[in-house]
Amino acid sequence: MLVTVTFGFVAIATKLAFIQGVNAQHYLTVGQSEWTHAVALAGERGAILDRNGDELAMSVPQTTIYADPRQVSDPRAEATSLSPLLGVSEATLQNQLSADAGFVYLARTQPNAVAAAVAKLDLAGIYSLQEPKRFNPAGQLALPLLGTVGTAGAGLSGLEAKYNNVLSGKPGRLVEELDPQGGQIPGGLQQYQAPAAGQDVVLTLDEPLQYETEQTLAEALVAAHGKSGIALLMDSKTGDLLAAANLSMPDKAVPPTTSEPAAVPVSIPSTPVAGNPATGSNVGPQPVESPSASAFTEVYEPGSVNKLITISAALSQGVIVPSTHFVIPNSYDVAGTKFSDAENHPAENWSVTDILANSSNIGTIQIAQRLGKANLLRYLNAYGIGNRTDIAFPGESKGLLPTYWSGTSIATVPIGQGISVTAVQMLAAYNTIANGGEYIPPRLVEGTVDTQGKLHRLRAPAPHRVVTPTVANQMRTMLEQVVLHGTGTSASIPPYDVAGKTGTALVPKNGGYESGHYVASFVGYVPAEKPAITVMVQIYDTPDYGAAASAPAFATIARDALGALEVPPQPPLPPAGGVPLASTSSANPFGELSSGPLPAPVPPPPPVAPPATIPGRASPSPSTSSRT
Amino acid sequence: MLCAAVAVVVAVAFGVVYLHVVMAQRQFALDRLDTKVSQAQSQYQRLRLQVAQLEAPSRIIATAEGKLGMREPASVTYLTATGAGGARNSQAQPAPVGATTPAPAGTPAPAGDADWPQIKSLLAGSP
Repeated sequence: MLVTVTFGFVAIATKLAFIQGVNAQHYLTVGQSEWTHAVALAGERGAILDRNGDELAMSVPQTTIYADPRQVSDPRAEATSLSPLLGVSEATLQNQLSADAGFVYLARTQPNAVAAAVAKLDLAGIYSLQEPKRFNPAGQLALPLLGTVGTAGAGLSGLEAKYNNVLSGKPGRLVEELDPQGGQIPGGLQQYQAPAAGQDVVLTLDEPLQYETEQTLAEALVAAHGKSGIALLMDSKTGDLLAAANLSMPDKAVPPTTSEPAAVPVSIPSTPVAGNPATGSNVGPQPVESPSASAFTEVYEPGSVNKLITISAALSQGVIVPSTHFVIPNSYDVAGTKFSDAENHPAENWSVTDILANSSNIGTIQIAQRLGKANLLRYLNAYGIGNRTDIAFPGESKGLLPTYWSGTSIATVPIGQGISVTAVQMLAAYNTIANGGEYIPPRLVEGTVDTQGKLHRLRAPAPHRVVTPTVANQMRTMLEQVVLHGTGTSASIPPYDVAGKTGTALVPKNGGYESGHYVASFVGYVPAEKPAITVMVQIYDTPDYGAAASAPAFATIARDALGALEVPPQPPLPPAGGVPLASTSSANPFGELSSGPLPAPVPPPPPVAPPATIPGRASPSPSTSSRT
Repeated sequence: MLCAAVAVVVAVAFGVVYLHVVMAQRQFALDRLDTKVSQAQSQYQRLRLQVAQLEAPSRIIATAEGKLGMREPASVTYLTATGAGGARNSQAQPAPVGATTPAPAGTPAPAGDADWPQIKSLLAGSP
């Protein structure tokens, strides 16, 4: 008996020695893995603010419900209890709760009411944790610019993606010893590394102006029966984009993926768009936010708005003066291709002002022939065409300049065909004239706000001079004549003086052009005497011309912005020296044209061959054709 | 002597137990405070979101036009100082040459946002 007891004690002592001595570290490690918990602490994602500090996107902690299936003894019963609260089917929950795993998500980022109801059930193996969820307080306002954030909290598109590193901050870590009930063991291990919160990103956008601009664009888009539209509002002096609307008509052929937020139609007031009496009913499909920020990512042939670049370049190079007169025939031959203006007319003797006011293709081509290819390309580049802006928006296009210079290129490029631009490029080009000939790089981001609340302004890119103030002043007078007597009369906003230009180009389709389908645009600035805002409106695939589809929307956006920014009318300036005023007004009040035959769609030219001829129309490019 | 030693040992033992009890109580208190801090931060963010949603232009305009019957003015009236003559109404008229035009209004942070930088700095680094 004594021997047995002694042997037993020796065995116990030996085992104890192994546990406490030889294998102590092993058992300690196993034990620590049970009671030591390490948690990654996500840094709070910064907000995206407008220029007034109002939140356009922000993260709010929400409750995520998860389970440890190994602790669930009755998956079916728990699934039945949880299903109505979480909105997940019983079968799905039962599968999750029966999984051979220690952690499964049941429902992420749930409202507090749901979390409280789940906690009240007090189910075994069901836990919760806090996770941030991204919200856009103003709904889908400016969503193509802001972009989206995935479930894991990373930016997927737009500014959320571009500034993801700034917004997301750095994760922290908490290591602590917990008892079986999840409470911290008093005096136990605790290591805490604080997460670094992300910085806020402050945009140049103005939330109310963004809203007004989107509303106006939505009305114009419906009124013009367009497929998509862009409206940009810029602070002329700083190049800050105050609003950038990108809308599309809903395309039923392309259903949204489940990961994308549902497209909510932009609410359109019942008031018809001025200048479009056909409007009046907003019954039917309404515009939604475009899938991407097309003002940066999509290119189009600008058409007649490009004439500003051609004419200002010619004035700068001294090959013309504003009073230079040209004989404008009804048609004009360049390298075997006949070009014409939008309307038939007898031979005219027009000044440069008349050419711009009437948006004459033939007059602009003659000016470009004096200017020459090299100078034209040089000024296109100086105006920013063919280069991405300093905004460097994700997916931003740099535009398309002709890779092959044919005999007719000297005729097509000056009138905005055979090249493609982004809307923001053309806006910046007109803003150059508004700034006395100095190109001001557009800006979309003002700066970042660090965790201490300090604003760090981004360094503004350096401006550069494109044309002299004298030339810019001459262009100002001519652009005013466009609105006073030319194709842009529907953009006028009395008593303000507006300087601007219409543009209409045919929509490309299957390598040719689609009759009756236009890209209609208007770009300009106001007050012409002391520019405060520069505005661009572009309606894609509309049966209307730029003067009818876009110019009225320009007027509405500009009028609203001038009021909001408290910009008073300015005393009128005299015409720039030596610039004749428009002597003819062949354009009707509704724009370049009200009717007239259109060219048939043109087959695409071979890649390296000269473009085909369009009778009575400016020569085509491989992609689109210009109307004015 | 032995009794004294036993008493000391018992006292030390009770002391150790008491110390652990106090530590446990303090730990529970800390847990509760951490939970309160976390809840307060979450509530602040939720309220901040609510304010932003209430300030959204779509809601304000819908309320102003739909419930209050407000309308945008057809034109804006600007008053420009004309020196000794005092203020002058320049509605729908260009400002007189040489007149002082009002400077564009500043864009102060709306109420509720001005204190965000300070609050954010206080929240930085909290668990």
